[in-house]
Amino acid sequence: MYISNVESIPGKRVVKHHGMVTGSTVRARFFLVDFGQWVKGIFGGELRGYSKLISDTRQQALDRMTAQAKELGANAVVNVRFSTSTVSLGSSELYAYGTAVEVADA
Amino acid sequence: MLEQVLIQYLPLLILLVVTFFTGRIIERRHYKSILKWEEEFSRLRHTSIGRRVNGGAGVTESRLVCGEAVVSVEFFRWFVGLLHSMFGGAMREYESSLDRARREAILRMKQSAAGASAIVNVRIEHTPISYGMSRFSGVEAIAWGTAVYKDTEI
Repeated sequence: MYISNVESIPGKRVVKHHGMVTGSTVRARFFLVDFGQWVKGIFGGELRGYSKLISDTRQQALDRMTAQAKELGANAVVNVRFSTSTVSLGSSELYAYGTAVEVADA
Repeated sequence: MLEQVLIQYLPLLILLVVTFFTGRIIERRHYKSILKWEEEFSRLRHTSIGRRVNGGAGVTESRLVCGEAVVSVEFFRWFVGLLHSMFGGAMREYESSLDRARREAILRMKQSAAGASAIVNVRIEHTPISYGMSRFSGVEAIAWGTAVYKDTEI
């Protein structure tokens, strides 16, 4: 599965469009991690626990998006965008969307 | 009377003084590591332009690369920001955290694109985060782009 955020896959040719595919997920960490990050946040610096949370969230959203693209019979997703928001305290929402296409060698 | 007031606000004062120093030390260390990594990755260019590579000849591989970072605003700066937001003006105390989160996210993106000749169409998005108490307490930044591998140098 080719994924890119430009309008095509560089070096390949788009032969068929399958429409938009999306993947969204909301994740949270264990409450003790939340507490640890809260204490860390008072003193400043990077919150690695939450960096990992966003990393996991992004991976899951991408997985859901590519699963949807596979179902449509596409072999690539182009023009992928992310949108993030905080739904509730200590949780992270990430929405990935792109266009499922079929590409062939140029 | 004065003693009572002092004792009542002593924890706040201690917290302000302690977080002032921890915040500064952590900030300095973070910038040091950011500058070091930026130097290391300076050969791998990233651009927000995407059209130029469309159809790109000589591209052997391309894939989506992402990087993310969450950087908190320490208690001292948050407190100063609270007072500052009442009087208006440029809120300089938040800028450092935003800047560090963005640069760290870009560096992590570059880290996951080992061996690429360029990263094109880079996009950055951030969201303020709040947890524990409902207040602005940090910023998450996510950077993503398309890593392009070429057999010849661009």
